[in-house]
Amino acid sequence: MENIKRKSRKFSRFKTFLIQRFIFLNGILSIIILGVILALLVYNSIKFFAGYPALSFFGGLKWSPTNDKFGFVPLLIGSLLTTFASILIAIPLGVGSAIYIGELAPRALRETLKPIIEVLATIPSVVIGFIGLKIVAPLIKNIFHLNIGLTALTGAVMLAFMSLPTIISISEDAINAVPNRYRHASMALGATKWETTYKVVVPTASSGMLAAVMLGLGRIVGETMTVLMLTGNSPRIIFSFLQPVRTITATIAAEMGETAQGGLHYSALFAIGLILFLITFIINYVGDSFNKRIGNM
Amino acid sequence: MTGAGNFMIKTDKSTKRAFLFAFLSVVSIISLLFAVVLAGCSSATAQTSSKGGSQAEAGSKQFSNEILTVGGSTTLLEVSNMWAEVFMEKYGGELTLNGGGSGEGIKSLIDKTTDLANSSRSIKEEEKKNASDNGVDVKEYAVLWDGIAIVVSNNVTVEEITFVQLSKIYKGEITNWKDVGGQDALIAAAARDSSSGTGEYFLQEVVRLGSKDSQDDYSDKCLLLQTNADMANQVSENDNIIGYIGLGYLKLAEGSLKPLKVKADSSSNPVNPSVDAVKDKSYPISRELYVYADMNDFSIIAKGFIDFILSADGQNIGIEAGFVPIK
Repeated sequence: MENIKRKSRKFSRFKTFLIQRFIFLNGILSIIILGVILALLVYNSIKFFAGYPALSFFGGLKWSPTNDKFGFVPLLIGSLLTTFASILIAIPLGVGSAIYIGELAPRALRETLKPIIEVLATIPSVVIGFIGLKIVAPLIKNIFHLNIGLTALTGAVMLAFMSLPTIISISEDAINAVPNRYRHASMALGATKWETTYKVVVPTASSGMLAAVMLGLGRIVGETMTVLMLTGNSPRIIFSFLQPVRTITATIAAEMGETAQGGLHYSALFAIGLILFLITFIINYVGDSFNKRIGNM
Repeated sequence: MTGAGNFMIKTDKSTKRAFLFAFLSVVSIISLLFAVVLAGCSSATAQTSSKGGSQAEAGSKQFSNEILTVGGSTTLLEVSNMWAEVFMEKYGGELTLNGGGSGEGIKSLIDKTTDLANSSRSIKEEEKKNASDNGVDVKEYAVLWDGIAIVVSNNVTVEEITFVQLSKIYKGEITNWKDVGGQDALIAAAARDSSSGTGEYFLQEVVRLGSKDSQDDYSDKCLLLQTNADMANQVSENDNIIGYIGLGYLKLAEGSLKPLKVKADSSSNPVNPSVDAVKDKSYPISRELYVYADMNDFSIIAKGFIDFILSADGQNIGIEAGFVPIK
């Protein structure tokens, strides 16, 4: 009798052990996947970094795979231009609506707006691209009297649209995390509602808002389908928002399927993928470390 | 609850919330459906898979228990689909078709994950070497001709164009319609990505005027578009753009685009792009489309499928899809 009891206790302890291990594995799975992705990118881009001079890659002014010229500068500028324009549009809109929703809107309106904004995040990027192609591109062509509507700005407008849910909901969290006693103290000193908002609440929530912007930025930099459809993809060096540009993501998406696999071009695409990965990783890391401060407030 | 919002009576709030939730669910479902329909219409790199015959018919046809995978060029995807449907109906078997691009298809053939590879360009030396290293004996079948039409919007007054003019336009040396006989308006050249089969062919034969040693490339001002549909869309809505699309797609987009007559050189006659003109070689911009097979692992159904493609029936389907028969 004693023996059986001990056995069953032993078994149950073993079961607990197994379950714990299983959950542990689940927990670190995403880290493993991240590691594998990084390793894969590095492994596939070794051939390129070994076979192509680093200077003509990082300093190269021409991206022309058919001539074996893999200059990174045009792609980097393309990505930077679109991202910059996009974040310029997204910051005022995103932070503005977060302040309105978190601070000024009547309760019923706020409860309606928040979920709708989250639905916005679920629209597939190809649909956003489609809308951009049919509505925004002709609009931009006509407004600025251009000969083509597929420009950095066109992509940027739609990307801003896509990053809004991230920026709004995280900014709004930051505003919500501002303790009520700050508001009460400010009101007690005779400040109006608006003065309280922009002199007390917004400065207090600013690090959270910065996090929101950074995470939105991460979304923008990595977005592919929309820019592929909307930015025209000309790989040239230009500093205008009203001309076609070619981003890093669009280059990979457009060229990966057709290139001879295992070749230099293939490896070059992995190399720019690796750089893109590092860029988004850093942006998200910075954003996340700002985000943590919200909790410590 | 932070900030100073309007407080409401509790019961009112909970009913309101329930109502709101229902409303939002409906909205999101509708928008999702809408999204799916849109995505279905516009997705360029579709992947299709179809199963042959019904279970009841299995066993009664020549290849009924055989399986065949075909992958590669998106140019050939649509017509391959049509071939596969008729083939499965006639001879049975189960065909799976993948898009993904010419490079992807050839890579899969080398990796032995696909039985046949569609390609809109001929296999590269690099790929041939990889194949033989991997024990794959690649054989090329030219299955169809594809003519490439130069298109502009209906409002452009230019009627014909020479190779040299095209080359200059795509290299960025001619930037105004008036230099090729049109109105005083800027030209925006739209090309396909040079890593796509179509884009590469056009670069070699037109932009480089067929010269093997030429290092010329598309001007970096060229728009680089991804699909025939993109091209047709952009050209039809914009009087500045010049572009090129496959003959098959021109047929689909009839009326919304204006094909230019092409002259190989200034002394030759301008030729309108048509199936007949491609067939008798009078239209100068056309190329072959290929299916690649592995001779070391050439299944009877793979052979059957290629025989079918090259048969009169198969070639007629090709014509239906806007291509030009190979013989």
